[in-house]
Amino acid sequence: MTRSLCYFDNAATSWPKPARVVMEVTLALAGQLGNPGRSGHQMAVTAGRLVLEARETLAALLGVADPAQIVFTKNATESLNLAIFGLVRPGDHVITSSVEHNAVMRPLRYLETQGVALTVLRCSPEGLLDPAEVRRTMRPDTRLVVTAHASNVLGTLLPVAEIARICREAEVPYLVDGAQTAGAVPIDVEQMGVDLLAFTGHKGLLGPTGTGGLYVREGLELQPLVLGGTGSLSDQEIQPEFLPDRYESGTLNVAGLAGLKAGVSYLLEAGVDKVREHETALVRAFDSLAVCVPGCTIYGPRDPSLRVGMASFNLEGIPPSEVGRLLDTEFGIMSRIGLHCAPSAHRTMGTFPDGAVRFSWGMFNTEDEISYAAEALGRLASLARAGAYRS
Amino acid sequence: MAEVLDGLLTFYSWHHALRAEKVLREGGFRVELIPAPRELSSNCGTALRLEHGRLDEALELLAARRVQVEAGHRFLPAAEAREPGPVGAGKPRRRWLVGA
Repeated sequence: MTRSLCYFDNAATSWPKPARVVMEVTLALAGQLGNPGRSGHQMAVTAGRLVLEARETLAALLGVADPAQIVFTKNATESLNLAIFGLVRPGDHVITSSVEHNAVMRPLRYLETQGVALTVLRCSPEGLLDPAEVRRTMRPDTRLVVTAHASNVLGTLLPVAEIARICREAEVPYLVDGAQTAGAVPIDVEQMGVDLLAFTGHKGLLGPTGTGGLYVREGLELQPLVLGGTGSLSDQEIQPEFLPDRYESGTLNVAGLAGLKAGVSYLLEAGVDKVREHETALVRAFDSLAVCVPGCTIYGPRDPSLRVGMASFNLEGIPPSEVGRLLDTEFGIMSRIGLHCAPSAHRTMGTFPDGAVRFSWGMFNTEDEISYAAEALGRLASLARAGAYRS
Repeated sequence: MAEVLDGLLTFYSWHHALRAEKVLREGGFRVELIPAPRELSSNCGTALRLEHGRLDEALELLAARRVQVEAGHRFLPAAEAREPGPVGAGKPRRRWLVGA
């Protein structure tokens, strides 16, 4: 079997980036760009137009009618913090799921120490959540419901549209963590009825690290996480109330946003529905080959349409860290092993504290790579069965 | 006769100023971004010049596209702005009519 390079860690960050992303970042740094919104001269205006185009492109991708309702942050974590700390106060009640990433869980666990009541809805070991549980646990003091759009460990898609309907009826804001779905699954926030959607720029959206954002439904007010200069209301020492300025203090990552705009425009041309189709085919291909590997346990729902482009698994007789190391050094396959910043999700699927191996695919992965990886797993499984990895 | 860009829009945020420029240009308006005259707005540093005669039409289009405008103004040519006042009394002054 020929050694190749397989990047199967797109849920951590996507690779490779389209050539136009690299070019746009370079042009933004090399070109005549000032600070957007801070001056009236042509170089500042050029930078401002670039940021505006990035916002408009994202609005088109996510079904947002007014681009000003998208605010830029440095990643999904910051967006989630802005939404959670911007809404929840001591005495409030929050509902979340048991498959959340620590970007959601840690802020909520911290708020719990500050007098916030937290309900963590238990998902099935496959990561499935019954949306009726949200209705059942809703209280008069529930201030926020927050769930992942898809688990970053199991890949399981949560029933966000159903949860959004329940939240709308109860008039409780619903925050969706779209870190694993923006760019990978078609999203229309207004159709889905979510109030807040956090996304990162460097995964499915194919942009550079250090970019991300938060969609905020019109009329929903958050306490800003960072206050400071915005280029507006310069004669006042109070934070502006209008968007996007209210949540965007300090100079933006203009070069990063130039790259993000390019990544999103690439996706708009390729079609997110096509990306989704491709990644579902990869999941199906992997599952069908991996079930034939002796001692290989795949987690998550068996139906590929219920998962985003990833698979978490373990090989009997080899710890996940060893599988990850051998896949990298012996086969050139980049995976992610361990707990994936989501201890609660691993508890849910029964792999805490040892963790699992995760393969996560993107639009540039191929079924040939999947076959190669399945073959590699087969080899590791035979060695394990021969007792090579007993500790 | 060439259009005279004697109208001006001010904005709360540079985002809206730049979006207005784009929306109006796509809508067939002649527009020009300028640093906002200080006496008109302390909000965003950028303002947009356009033909005052098409101001209402422009505001309608911007509202439909959810672009927030702070205010519309009219530029008064020098000859009409000659007026005595506390500053520069008797000198011809070009000025913007606030909220025109």
